[in-house]
Order: sequence, then structure tokens, then C-alpha cells
Amino acid sequence: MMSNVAKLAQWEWFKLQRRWMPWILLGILLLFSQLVVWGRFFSYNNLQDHLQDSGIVVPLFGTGDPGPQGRLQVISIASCNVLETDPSAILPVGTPSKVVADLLTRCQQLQAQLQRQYEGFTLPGSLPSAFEIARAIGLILFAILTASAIGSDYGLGTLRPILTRGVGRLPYLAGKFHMLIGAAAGALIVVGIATAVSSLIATGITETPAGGAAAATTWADAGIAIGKTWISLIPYIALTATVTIWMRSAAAGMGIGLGYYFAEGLLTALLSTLFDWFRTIDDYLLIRNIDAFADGSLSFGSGSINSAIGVGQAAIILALYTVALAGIAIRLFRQRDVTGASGG
Amino acid sequence: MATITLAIATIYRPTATLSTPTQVKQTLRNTKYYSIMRLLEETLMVIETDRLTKHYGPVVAVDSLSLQVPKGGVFGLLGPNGSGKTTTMGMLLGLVKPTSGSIRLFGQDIHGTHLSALRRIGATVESPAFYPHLSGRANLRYFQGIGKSDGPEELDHLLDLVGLSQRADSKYRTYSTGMKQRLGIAYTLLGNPELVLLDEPTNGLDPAGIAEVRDLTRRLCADGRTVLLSSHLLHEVEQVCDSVAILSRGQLIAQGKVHELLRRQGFVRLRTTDDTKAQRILASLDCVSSMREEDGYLMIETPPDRSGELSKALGQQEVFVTEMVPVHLSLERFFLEITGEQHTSTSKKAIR
Repeated sequence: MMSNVAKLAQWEWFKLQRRWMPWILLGILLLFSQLVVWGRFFSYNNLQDHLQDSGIVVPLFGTGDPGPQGRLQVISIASCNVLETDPSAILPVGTPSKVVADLLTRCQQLQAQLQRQYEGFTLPGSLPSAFEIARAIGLILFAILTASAIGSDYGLGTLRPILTRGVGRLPYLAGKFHMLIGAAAGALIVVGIATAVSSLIATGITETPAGGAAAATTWADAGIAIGKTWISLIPYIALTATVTIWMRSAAAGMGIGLGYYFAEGLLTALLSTLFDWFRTIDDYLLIRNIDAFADGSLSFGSGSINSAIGVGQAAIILALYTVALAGIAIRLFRQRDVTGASGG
Repeated sequence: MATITLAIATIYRPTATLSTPTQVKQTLRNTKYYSIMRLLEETLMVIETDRLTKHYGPVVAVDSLSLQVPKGGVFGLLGPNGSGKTTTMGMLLGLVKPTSGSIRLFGQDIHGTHLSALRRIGATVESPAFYPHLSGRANLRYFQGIGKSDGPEELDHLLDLVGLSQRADSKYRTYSTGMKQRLGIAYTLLGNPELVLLDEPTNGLDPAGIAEVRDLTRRLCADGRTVLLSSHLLHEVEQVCDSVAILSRGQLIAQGKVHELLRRQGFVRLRTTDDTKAQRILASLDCVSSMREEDGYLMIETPPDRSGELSKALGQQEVFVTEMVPVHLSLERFFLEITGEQHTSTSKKAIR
């Protein structure tokens, strides 16, 4: 059975890879994920340039020396290190110690900000950011891909020649699921590789911030991020597949798959304000749990993401969604008669 | 066949309680000769349905269909639109679930073993359906891959067989209707199936294409393969099929070898010295099913081999035959006669 499913998944990929759609979707996924990396790169450089050009504005009230620009002193971010060891080298003599202390704090804050931005486009810190975007965009893109991959057999009428080859309905469906889940994994790996390449390029053409890069993200975090992103796509693939099979239409699968993504957040926000009891239901909705599981907050219209749902609880709810939706899809698919091309 | 007859005679000792073939089979299944029985069934019939029925809500698409398709040769499934041909094919292929009744493929009840039976069948139901973004070869490669795989040389052979070698690598969306039909036939032959089901294979083909499909169909069964052909082109069916089953409104109204059906159902064109009296005399004969006047002649429906009884009965009543011409029915005429009768419900024939 498993080897048969693996074989069918392989042949599903044979068909899919010869279409433009998956490659266009992958291109969109790459574009958005790389935008995050390069966006942070440019943001970092802008901040650094700004700080080097205009520096930190220091108010020198009550120092007795108004300084070259009246009552303000502008110092470069590069001078922060000097400020720590010898403030008199930069600041006027007699500058109160409180002003020096405030200035040091401000220096440290800016350095931390630069380090964070630097980490956002260098490895491994760039990977979780890219995967977070990949998840938000990927839910939409994989809804389109799933509806198309399953619905096209209804629309073209190719379900009949497939099933008359003695394939079996359950292996056919399992093959489709495996191919889509495999494609999701493949797409995320490609995003990861592209992000790594972008990060290496970006790192090579920019300066390391003073004090080095922040080390908040480890390679393990990056691995967990890709795993969570991949897992969070699976229940949404199951949702779109079930709707497509139920409606026997790619267009319906896409419509409801995409519509639900936006509708959940909007309806949740609306109904939660109207009915108090809805706030308890809210915690069991699909997108909300996907966001909670992946620890993000990028879905459209999401309100109080992650406020109450733990990762463990979200994982259980997502597993239940996947099993229930796949069960419905299999039951519908096995029970129904297979007719000719539906056209859509 | 002599061996089979001997085997049946050896294992089957008739008793008074066994009156129908089904009872005989059931009894044999309960004996130590079961394996021989299965072998015989598989040898003799590739498709058997027993009271196969399909309801779509209040609509009865197929009504108690008991079909028997013998091994080898071309079997035609005929009927007007909506008669249940495609639904029957769908049920045989496991695409449509029967409301009641049973199906036996290759001598085995397909309940639970449908997939193994399907691997011995090649079928195209209604129009061929393929992936427009793939070439003809890639489409066949895909369907070959998901079934049992026989390698690329099989694809070359099939594409050559249906005359698509030159366009094998063009996208399916660029194919003409005739080319699509040819690819559909190549698809049905993937894996060298023992039973081929073709649903309207000549749809959209020009006369030359129809003749090619007819020749191809004949060649398919030359090596012992069975072809079940559904078509509304009765002239074509008559030229190709050995046996036919005729469906009307989901019911089987005739089944048997083409030449036997046509022999049983015949007309005699008659002119006598007194046609009015002749009609009265002939109406009382058992061998006359119906009669009507047509172009100044009496058209008498009677088996051709019993036309002598007509002249004898008329002569005894001093009505003399001045002209008697047997009218040989084509399958098309036969089809129209019996389906027309079915529709007007004047009398139902049992031509089995």
C-alpha cells in the first residue's frame, strides 16, 4: 500500500511539474520570503547610514557649555564605545554624569536595534523570518495548488481514466496528499536555500554592527521554524482538498480555501464583539491555531493571536482538524459515483 | 469446447431441484469442483451481471440488467441516448456504485476484488479525457506509470498502432478530435488488457478514421481479447460485432449473436390477390408478430424461416400470393423496430 501511494505521489508530481502554476506559485513564495531578508538588509543599512550621518542628538542642558550647535551635541554611533571609556573625549567637560548615563543607554539601545536588524538578514536568524512569511503566503498558495491538483481531475474528467487503471480510490487520494505535502516540504527547502544564499550575499556586502551580531536565533531555532511552517500548511491543504472533493470543483476549492483564510479573522473579530461566548470558540478555529502553533501573527485580520493558545494545544487541534478533514474527504471520495468532466 | 462440455458433464449431475443456470452454478460452487467451475466461468464469460440496477433518485438508469459477454470477439452494447449504456460501463469499471445486483468479471464476483479485475481491463468511457498540458506520449506514460508498467517500448508500439507517432510529443490540447480518439484507444490498450471497453470510439472521426477504428477493433480481438463496444453507429457495429445487447430505458431488450437476432426478427413483403382478406387470415397465425401496409405491400413481421406457413395458410383460404420477398433487416432496422416497439409498448418481445 505505502509503496503504491509513493508511486502515485511520484506520478502526480510528474504531471504537476509540467505545469506553469506550481513554478509561478513558488516564484511568488520566494519573492515574498526574500523581500523580508532584503527588506531587513536595507532597513539595517539605512539605520546605520542615518546614525553615521546624523548621529545621536544629545541635549546638553545645564552643562554650562552649549556646544557647537547651541544646546545640542550630535555624536556618531561609532563614538559610543569611546563614550563608555572616556566621555570627556567627546562631550564637553562638566557634562553631568546623568546625561552621560542616558547617552550610554541610548547608545546601547541603538546598537541592539542594529544587531537585531543585522540578525534578520544573516544566517541563521534570517531563516525563521523567511519561513514566517512563507507560512502566511504559503497557506494561500497551497490552497490554490491543492484545489488545482485535485480539482483538475474533476474538471478535465481524468478521474475516470485514472480509476479505471485499477489505482484504487484511497491510494489515489493518499498519493495526492503525499505529493502536496512533499511539494510543501520542497518549496520550504527551496525558500531556505534561497534565504541562505541571499543572507550570505547580504552579509558579504555590509558591515557588522558595533558589538557584533545578536545571537538570539540558533540553527536549531531555524530547523524548528521550517518544521512548524511545514506542519502548519498540512491542515490547510486538508481543508482545501476536502472542499474541492466535496464540491467536485477546483474553482470552489480555491474560492473557499482562500476565502476562509481571510474570513476567519474578520468573522472572529466581528462575532467576538457581538457575542461573548464566541471568544471560547475562537480558540478552536483553524487559522488561529495555525498562527499559534507557528508562533506568528501574520494572518489577515487576526486579532489577539497567541494570547491564550499554547503550542501544544494548537498542535493537538491542528492534528484533529487534519484527521477530521482527511476523513471527510476520503469518505466522500470513496462513496460517490465518478462522472464525466465537470469543466471547473 | 469439447473438453469443457466433457468437464461439465463429469461434474454436473442434474437433479430435479436444479432448474436454472444460476442454481446449477450455486450448487457447483458448494462442491469440490468449485475451482473447475471458476475456471470454466472465467473461460466462457468475461462479464456477467445479475439483475444489475442503478437508481439516481427516482430515475432508474439501469433496471435489472443481466448481461453476459462471452470471452473473445467483439460485443456491442447498443441503445439510444439515456438507455443506460454508459452507466452500465461505469458500474462494470467500479466508477458507479450499483443500487443492487451483482457483477462478475473474469468469472469472479468483483465485490472486494475490483482492482485486480480492473488491471486486466482497458477502458475509455464517454469521450477520452487527458491532460491538455502534457503531450500524447507523456499522457500515456503517466497512465502507464500509475498502472502496471511495461516500459517505453510499449508506448512506441501503441502510438504507432493508432497512427500518432508523428504527433506523440505535441501537447494534447493541440490534437484534433480524431487524434484524441486515437490516443484514447492507445490508452485502453496500455498493459495489454484481456478485456477492452470502448464507449463510442468513432465519435468525431471522419469516414477514413471510422474504417481504421473498425479494422483496429477487429485486430484487437484477433489474439483472444474481448472488446465491449458501445456505439450508436449501428452500421459500424453490425460490421464489427459478433454479439450485441440492446438497451432501452435501462432495460435489456435483446441479447445474442448478431446473425441470430437478425434471423429471428424478419419481415416478409407480400402482395396477394386479396390483401384485405389476407390480413384477416395472417392475423390469426402464431408466427406473425405484426403487420402493416407499406407502399402497396403488406409488411409481415415473421421469422424468415417460417414464411412458408404464410403462403400455405393463405392458399388454404383461396387467397393467392402474387409476390413474396423476404426483407433482410439490418441491425439498424432491427434496433429501430424493437426499440420503437418498446417505446409504444404494443408488445414486448423476448428475443433471447
